[in-house]
Amino acid sequence: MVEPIFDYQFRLILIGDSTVGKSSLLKYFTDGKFAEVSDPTVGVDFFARLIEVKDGTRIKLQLWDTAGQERFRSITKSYYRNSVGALLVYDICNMSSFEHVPQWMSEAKRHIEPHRPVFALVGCKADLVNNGGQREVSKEEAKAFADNHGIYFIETSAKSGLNVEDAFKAVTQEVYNRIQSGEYKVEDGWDGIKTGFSRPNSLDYHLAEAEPARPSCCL
Amino acid sequence: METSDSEYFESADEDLESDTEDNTRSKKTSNLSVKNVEKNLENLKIEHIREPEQNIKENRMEYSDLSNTSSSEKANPDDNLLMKPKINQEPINNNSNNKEIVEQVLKDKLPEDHNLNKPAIQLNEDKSEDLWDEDELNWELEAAREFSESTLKCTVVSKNDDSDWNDFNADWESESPSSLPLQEDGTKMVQSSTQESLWENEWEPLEEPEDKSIKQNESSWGNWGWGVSSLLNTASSLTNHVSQGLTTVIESSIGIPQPEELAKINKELSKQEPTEDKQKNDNSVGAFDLSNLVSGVSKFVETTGSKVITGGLDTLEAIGKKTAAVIQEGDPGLKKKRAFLKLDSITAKPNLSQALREAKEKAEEKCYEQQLQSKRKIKNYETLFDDHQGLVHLEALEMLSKLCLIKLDNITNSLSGDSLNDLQETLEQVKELCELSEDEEEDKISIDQADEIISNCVKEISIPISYGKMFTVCREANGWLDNAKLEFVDNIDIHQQALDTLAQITAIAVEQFHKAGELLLVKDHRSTADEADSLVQITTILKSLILTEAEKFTEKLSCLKSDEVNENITNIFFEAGNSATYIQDAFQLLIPVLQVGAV
Repeated sequence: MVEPIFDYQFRLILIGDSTVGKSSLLKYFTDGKFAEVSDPTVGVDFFARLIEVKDGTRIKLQLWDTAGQERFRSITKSYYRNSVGALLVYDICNMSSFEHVPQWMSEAKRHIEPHRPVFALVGCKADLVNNGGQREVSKEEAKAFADNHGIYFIETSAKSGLNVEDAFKAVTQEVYNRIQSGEYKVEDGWDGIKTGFSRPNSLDYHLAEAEPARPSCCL
Repeated sequence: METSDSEYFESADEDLESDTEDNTRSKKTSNLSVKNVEKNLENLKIEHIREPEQNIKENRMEYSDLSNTSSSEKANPDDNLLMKPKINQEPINNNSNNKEIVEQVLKDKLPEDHNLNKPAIQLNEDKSEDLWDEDELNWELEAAREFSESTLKCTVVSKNDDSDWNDFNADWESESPSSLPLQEDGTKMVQSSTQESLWENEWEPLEEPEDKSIKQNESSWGNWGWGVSSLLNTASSLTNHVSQGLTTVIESSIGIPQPEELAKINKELSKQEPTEDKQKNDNSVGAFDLSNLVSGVSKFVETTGSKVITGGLDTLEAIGKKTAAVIQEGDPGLKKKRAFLKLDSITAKPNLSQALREAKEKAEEKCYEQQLQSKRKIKNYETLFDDHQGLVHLEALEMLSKLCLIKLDNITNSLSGDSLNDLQETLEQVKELCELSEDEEEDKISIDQADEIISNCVKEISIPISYGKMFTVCREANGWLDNAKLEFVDNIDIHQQALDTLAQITAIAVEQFHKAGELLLVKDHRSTADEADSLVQITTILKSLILTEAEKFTEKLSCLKSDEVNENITNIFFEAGNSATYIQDAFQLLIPVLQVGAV
C-alpha cells in the first residue's frame, strides 16, 4: 500500500503487445515479486508506488497497466489521455513485439493529451537470454531506435529484478526535470501530474509560515 | 519597510529601562490630551461611531497575531538584538511629525487665550493624586515594560477626537518613513492605508520565502504591536461617543503609557516643568491591566460624574463585552484566561500578555496533539478508497462510459426518422431496465447469501468478473470483529477498521463494475436485458452488504463506553452512505455500456 505522503503524483501508462511482460514488470516494481503464471490483463489495471527523485522529492507513481490484447485496443485507447509518461514495452525474445513499438508510440502520441509524454523504451525478459533463451532483438537496434526518437532505453527482467527500478526511475526523473524546467505544470483538469500531501516533518514549517495569514480567514 | 515595529518596541523597551524622563513626559502628554479633549467637548463628531466596527475587525485579526508573537520573541532573541542599532532614529523622526500635529491640533482646538503648558501640569498633578494610590504604583517593572511596548501606539491614536486618525497615521508612517508626507491627510485615507499596510505586513513572509525567518520575525513583532494597540484603540474609539470625558479617562488610563514621540514633544512643550515627584508614576505609566483600567475609569467617573452622560455606563459595558469577545476569540483555554483576569484584579500581578501567551501555548499543544493522533492512526475514507485503487477504477470507468456515450452520439447523429426514434426508444428501455428500486436499501443480508446471489448474477452475464476478493474482505472483517476484545481494541481501532473495510468493499465493487464494463464491450453476443437485470441485482446486494457491514461495526462500537463513540458511529454510517453512492454511481456509468450493446 502506498503511503499517502508525497509531493507529486505522476500518471504513467505501460503499453505494448500482449504477453511482453507489462504486468509482470509492474508487479515486480510495486511488490518485488514475480509470478510465473499470470492472467492476461482485462482493459486496464492499476498499480502505485512511491519513488524519490534525485533531490529527495517524493513522487507517487500511478501506473496504468493496459491490456495488450487486440480486442481491448479500442478500450485502452480511451485510457491514454492524462498520462505524463509512457513506457513502450517489448519482449527481447519476440521480434514482432519490438516491431510494433513504433505503432504503440504513434498511438500514444495521438491519444495522450494535452502534453507530449515522456517516453521510455523498455525491453523485458532479459533473464531468458542469460538462460539459453533466444534473443531476437539486439541491444544495438533497440538503442538505435531509442536514440533516433530521443528517448530513454533499458533492458529489464521482472524475474531477476534487473533494471526494473531504473526504468521507472529514469522516466520519473525526466518528468520531474520537465516540471522543474517549466515544460510541465500542475493543471486543473489534467491528471498527468498532481500535487500530493506534504510530508509530516515539514508540517511545523508550513504551520509557522501560514500563521501570519490565519487571522484573515478564521476570524 | 526596513524599519519594523519590533525596532520600535525595542526602543520603547530601552527607554523604559534607562530613560525614566520619557515616561514622565508621556504622562504629561496624555494629561495634556485629556485637557484638550475636555476643552472641546462640543467638537465631538458623530462620524466616529462607524469606526469602532472597523477597529474591531482589525482588532480581531490582530489579536491572533498577538498570540503568535511570544514564540517568535523567544525563538529569535538574536534578531531582536540585531535590530537594536537602528532603534533610536525612528522616534526622533517622529518627534517632529507628532509635534507638528499636536501643535496644529492645539491651535485648532484650544481657545486662543489658553496656555498650553500650565493646565497640563495641573491635570497631571490632580490625576496622580486621584487615580493612583501608592499600592497601585507598585507594578512590576517587567510588566510595565511589556505593556508599554504594546500600548505605545494607541495613545497617539486616541489622543484627540478630530486628530486621532491623523496621529494614527503619523504613528504608522513612522514604520515606513518614505510616506511621511501623507501624515496630515484626511481621516479616511489614513484608515485605508492602515489596513493596506496591515495586509502587507501579514502576507510578506508568504510571498518572499527566501528571508522568511527574518521577515516573519519582523511581522510578528509588528503584529504584536498592532494587536494590542488596535485592541485598545477599539476601546478608546468606542468610548469616544460615550462622552468626551470618558474618552479621556480611558486614554489617560490605558493610553498614557508612553508613546515615544509624544513624550518628546511634550518635553519641548513643557520644558520648564519640574519632574522630581514623577518617579512613582513612571513605573506605573507603562503597566496596565484591566483592573487598573477599571479602577481608573470608575474613579474618574466619580470625580467627573457630572460630565458623563447617562448612557455612558451602558457603553462601557458594551466595550467590556466587545473586549471580552475579542479576547476570547480563538482561545480554547478560555477558562484559564478568565481565572487569570480575576486574579489580576486582586493581585495585579499576571498581566494580559502572559494570559494570552499561556492560552496560546495551550491551544497549540492541543492542536499538535490532534495532529499527532491523526498522523498515527486515522486515515480518512477517501484516502483508503484511493489506496485500494477504487478512485482510479472509478475514473477509468468514467472514461469508458464517456467512450460509449460518444459512440452512441455518433450513431444517433447518423440516424434520422423512424430509425432514430427506434434507437431512442431502445436507449430509454435500457435506462428503465437499469432503474434501482429504492425501498430495498434497508434489507440486511448475510455474506453467504450475498455471495450466492452475486455469483449467480455473474454467471448470468457470462463474463469473468469475480467478487471473491470482496467476500474475503467481508469475512476477514467479521473475523476481526469476532476476535476483537474490547480490552485490546479501542474506539479508534474499530472505527478505522470499519472505514477500511467499507473502502475496500467499495473499491472492489467499483473495480468489478469497471471490469464488467470492459468485458461487456469486448463481448461478442450481448444480452442487454440479462445484463441489466444482473447488474441491478448486484448493485442492490452490494448496497445491502455495505449496510450490513457498517451495522456490524457500529454494534461493536456501541459496546464501548466513550464520548467519541457516537461520533464514530455516525461517521461509519455516513461513510457507508458514501460507499453506497459510489457503487450506485459506478453502476450508472455502466448504463451507456449496456446501451451500446443494445444498438
